[in-house]
Amino acid sequence: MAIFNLNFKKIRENVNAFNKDINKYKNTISMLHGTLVNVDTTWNDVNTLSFISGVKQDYRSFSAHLDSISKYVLLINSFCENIQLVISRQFGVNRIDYLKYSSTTLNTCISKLDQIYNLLNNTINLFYNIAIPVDFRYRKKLESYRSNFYNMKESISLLRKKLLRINNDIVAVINDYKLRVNKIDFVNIDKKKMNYRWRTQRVQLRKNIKNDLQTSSRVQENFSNETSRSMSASVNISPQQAIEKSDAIEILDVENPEVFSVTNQDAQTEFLNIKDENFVLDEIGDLSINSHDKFLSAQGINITAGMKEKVSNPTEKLNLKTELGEYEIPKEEVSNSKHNDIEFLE
Amino acid sequence: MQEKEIYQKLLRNMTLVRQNISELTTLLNTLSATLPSALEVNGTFPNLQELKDFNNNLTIYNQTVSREIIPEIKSKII
Repeated sequence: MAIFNLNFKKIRENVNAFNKDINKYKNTISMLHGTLVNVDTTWNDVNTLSFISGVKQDYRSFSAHLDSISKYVLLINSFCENIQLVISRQFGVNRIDYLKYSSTTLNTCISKLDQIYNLLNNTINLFYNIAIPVDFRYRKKLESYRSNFYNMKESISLLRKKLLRINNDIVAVINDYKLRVNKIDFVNIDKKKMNYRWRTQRVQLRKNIKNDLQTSSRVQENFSNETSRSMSASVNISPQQAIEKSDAIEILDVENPEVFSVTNQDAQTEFLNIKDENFVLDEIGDLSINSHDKFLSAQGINITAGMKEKVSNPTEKLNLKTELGEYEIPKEEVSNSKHNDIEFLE
Repeated sequence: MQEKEIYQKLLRNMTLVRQNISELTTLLNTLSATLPSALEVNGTFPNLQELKDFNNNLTIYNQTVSREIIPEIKSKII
């Protein structure tokens, strides 16, 4: 037995909001996908490609998941529309905002209507079975009653038919919904956090690289006392990830060629700005940090980072070269600070 | 059939009509109270007012039959 308590007004609002949101999501992930497809893979670094491949795979499963949800919402919306159609057809109500329905109670009412119908029929017969004397004072009134009872019986009969049809039609709508809902192949996604990085070393670039690099106190280097090592890495990231919202860039493996992975902290904002490449290029410019072979640079929408050097003297100076000038910073001055915006961590 | 017999039959029928009306009133009252729980569209049952109108009419009929028509018929029988 079916029992509904449906607020169609609210459902309509929610479905509209959902459709709006889902379109926004689809546009956003399409833009992300479009960006990833066009990522510069000049260096052909295996880990960079793996990172991009991982994001693309997630894009595909997320798209399929959204499509599944859309199908459900569409089906629920269709169910509500059909229920409204059933009621509107029987009662001529143009717009239904709220509906309460209980098939069990409605069946009880239909059986009450049956009783009323039979009783009215019986009453009408009581009028027909007797010839009312012509000179009886209430003759016309009794004839009028008889006619009114007849009309009442017709109305009750009509109402009974309406309710019966509603019950039957609603059952049909429910069965149709069940049939269709079972055909939806729902694609779920893993609830694990999307994570494309491996680990070990990490370089964090915080907000506005240019400004950060101009101030020596914002540069921190936190090397170990290793006497030598060799690393190189490159990563292509979207411009906003580097300059506006800053994200974490992580070097992924010490032993092998390194890769920076980028953890974006405000994807939505960035995607909105991603089209504006001119802005991005102007904002970043060419930046580099040089300390012998150790360098960090940002050029256009690409950031490359790497370290190829022998660190033999922990007190050597770190050279910063920016568009506005060159700086020399003793290493001991830039180590161990927790608040710097660029940091090399082991 | 003599006029007196006709009025006697009319009296029987009107007495039954009165009983039916009482029963109809009870059923309609129950129905009016139950229908909104079975089907409530935009806060009410669509034909509820029509059922209430029926009930009001029946009440008037019942009063008329009891207070005017049946006494009149009885007066014809005596």
